[in-house]
Amino acid sequence: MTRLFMRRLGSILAAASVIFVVFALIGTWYGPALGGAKDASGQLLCNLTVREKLISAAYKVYGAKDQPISLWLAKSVFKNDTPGYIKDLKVRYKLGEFADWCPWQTYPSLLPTQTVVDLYYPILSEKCARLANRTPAELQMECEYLDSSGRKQTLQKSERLTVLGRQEIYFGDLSSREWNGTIQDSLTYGPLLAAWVTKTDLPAAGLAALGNKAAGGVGAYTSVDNCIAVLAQLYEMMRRIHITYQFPAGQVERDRSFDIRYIQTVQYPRDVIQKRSGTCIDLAILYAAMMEAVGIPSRLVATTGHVFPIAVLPNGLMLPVEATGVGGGGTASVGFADAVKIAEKEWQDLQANGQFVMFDCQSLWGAGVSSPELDPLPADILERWGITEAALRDGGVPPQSVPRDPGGAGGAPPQAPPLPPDPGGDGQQAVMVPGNWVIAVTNPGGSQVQGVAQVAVQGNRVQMVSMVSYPVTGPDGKEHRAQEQSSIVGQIQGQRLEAQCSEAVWTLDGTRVQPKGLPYKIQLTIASGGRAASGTVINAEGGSAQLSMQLR
Amino acid sequence: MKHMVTGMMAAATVLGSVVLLATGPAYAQEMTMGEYEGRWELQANGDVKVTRKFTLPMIMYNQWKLTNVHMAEFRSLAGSRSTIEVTDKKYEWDDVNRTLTLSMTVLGLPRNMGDHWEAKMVGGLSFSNLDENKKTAFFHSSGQSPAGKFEGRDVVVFPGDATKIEWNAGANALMYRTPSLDAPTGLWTLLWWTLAGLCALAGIAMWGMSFVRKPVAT
Repeated sequence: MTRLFMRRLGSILAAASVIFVVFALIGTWYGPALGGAKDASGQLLCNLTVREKLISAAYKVYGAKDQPISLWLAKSVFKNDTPGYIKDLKVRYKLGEFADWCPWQTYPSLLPTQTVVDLYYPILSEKCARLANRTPAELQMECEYLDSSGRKQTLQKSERLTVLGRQEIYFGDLSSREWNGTIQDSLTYGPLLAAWVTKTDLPAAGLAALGNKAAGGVGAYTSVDNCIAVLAQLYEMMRRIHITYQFPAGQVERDRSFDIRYIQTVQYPRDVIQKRSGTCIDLAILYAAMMEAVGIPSRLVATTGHVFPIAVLPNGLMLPVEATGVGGGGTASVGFADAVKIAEKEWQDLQANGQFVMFDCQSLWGAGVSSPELDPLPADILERWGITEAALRDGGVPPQSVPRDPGGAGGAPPQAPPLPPDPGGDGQQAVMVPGNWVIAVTNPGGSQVQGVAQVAVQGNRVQMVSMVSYPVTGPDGKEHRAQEQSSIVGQIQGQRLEAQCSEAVWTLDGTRVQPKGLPYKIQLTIASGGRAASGTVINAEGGSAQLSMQLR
Repeated sequence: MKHMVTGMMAAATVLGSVVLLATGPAYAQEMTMGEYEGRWELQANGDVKVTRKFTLPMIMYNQWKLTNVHMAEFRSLAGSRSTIEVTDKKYEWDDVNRTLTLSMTVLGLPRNMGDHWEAKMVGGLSFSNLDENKKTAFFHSSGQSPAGKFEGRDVVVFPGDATKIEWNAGANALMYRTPSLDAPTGLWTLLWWTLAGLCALAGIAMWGMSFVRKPVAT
């Protein structure tokens, strides 16, 4: 081949390679034109779901993405409805003035027919917790991606939602077709009430401190007696400063204090103290905040149209308090003991019918439900509001003491009496007085059953036969009577009783049934004097409960 | 609020938890035991077909049926409330055998990381073992509920062409690869690129040789 021929051939081959490159590029960009990929029909489908309402008081929970309790605000569902691959999908969101564009969430690749679910957990500005009234806001979603041809595509969507005022909550978003009629079903967002329990807020903490002072400055959780004394003074403090129960405006049914179907106004403790009035929810939250401020764990119990607080005593027993007992709204003011009696009856009835939900404030705080940042108040705010003067007027009124043996009502098991102070630690062997004892078993869920036990003692050996009886709702929806008789044998070592139950007789409506979970192990600390004991009982399955005993 | 969980646990939690009215409790009553067998079939496109079959003692079975557990739990999987997206929800009661079978397809549960899939397991399910040959992973869980105690096993079935299956304990996630992750290149396009390359190389070679070759004497 001559040089000229080779150069001509080389030029032709180079030209051919350029043509092939053009074809290849066309194939890459427009695959279907030259059979590179199948026809790229279809598109990236996107469905944006936004919650209708944002509870601004609990705005922090929306950003608590990895917490046990978190609320997404928006959900985008992308589906690759093309036969090709979508690359580098990026999504981000913005919520009006309350949250700027969040960082891009990226998804490297979407196969044909693949679905991607993207959730928006906004870090909301505390601005939204300052809203006094409901405010509309627009949530915007923006996404970018490379389609199967490699071209960049963008998509924007937006939806309106309502940001509730800082004192507003709605309890559930089930439609009437979905609601199954139970209270549990109606209070989906009930746990967010924990955001209102502002234990460190100056007015609530200050009022609680005044109550603790009136109780003699005792450590509220050092003993059951001290705890009850402090609880009584906290309640009396509410009465002393003339906090009254206020029926909610606009509430039609007078037998309930709030309506879970609608947006409910809930005041912060500081508002209740300032205005000296509140609904049942407001008063329950105030009392719970004061309890928590002095170190007493609290619960809020919500039922149809009513909320009341419960204190968890140092021995694990629960003491419900009817916070609306402070009076007002057409009801007379009652003392602490009567407020406890009223609440105990309510609590027993609710445990029997199950129509309640209990919120553990401390657990909820730990799970991501945090209080909003409220406006700072001056250190002397209680003085400015006249609270301190009212609280200290008359030098304090001794509260009604809680009856030692409140007794039952309507056949339901009575509340166990508080235990005497902790036993002394002088190292001597404790004694347990033989005879008839009252026992109370409290399950982890807070429910309690009472019973009796016959105790026999020989040296340091103890033999007990206990009997507990309680109502149980069967699968037929009717109430049945369950009874458990247990034979317990143990030994006293120092101040403790270590015992075991290996034999038990269970009956249901008088018919014997097979006992489960044997043997039970019982560990009790015996109080000095040998007339009371408390501790735990653990069954073979690992389930445990608190057990307290008192000589009759 | 108990349904506000994410990832694989969302479906597991929902299928394993029960809505109950409170009943008379006593420490000695927590003895009824329910069992379940679960199956999670990972599809090539990232969807997961989930089935859980509960076998219950009669008292639990009746309680569940009375409280309409399917309505309570499946309602929480509505797109407007759940962290996951599900379709084809079904439940079947078998009064004779006291079983309840819940099934659904969860869309987009494993995450496509580009070069592998990652299916995050969030609490509750404990990893048991992985069988790479049979392309299955096993998890177990047990728990206590007001209805009684639960115990069960979930089997995760990987796609038939899955490879590099592993359990990442640190990330608490299953990882695997499938050929579907690689975007296919058009054959024709490959051909054009190949031809272009060959022609370019040949053309360069011709030109190069033309300089090397001695001119023909005339």
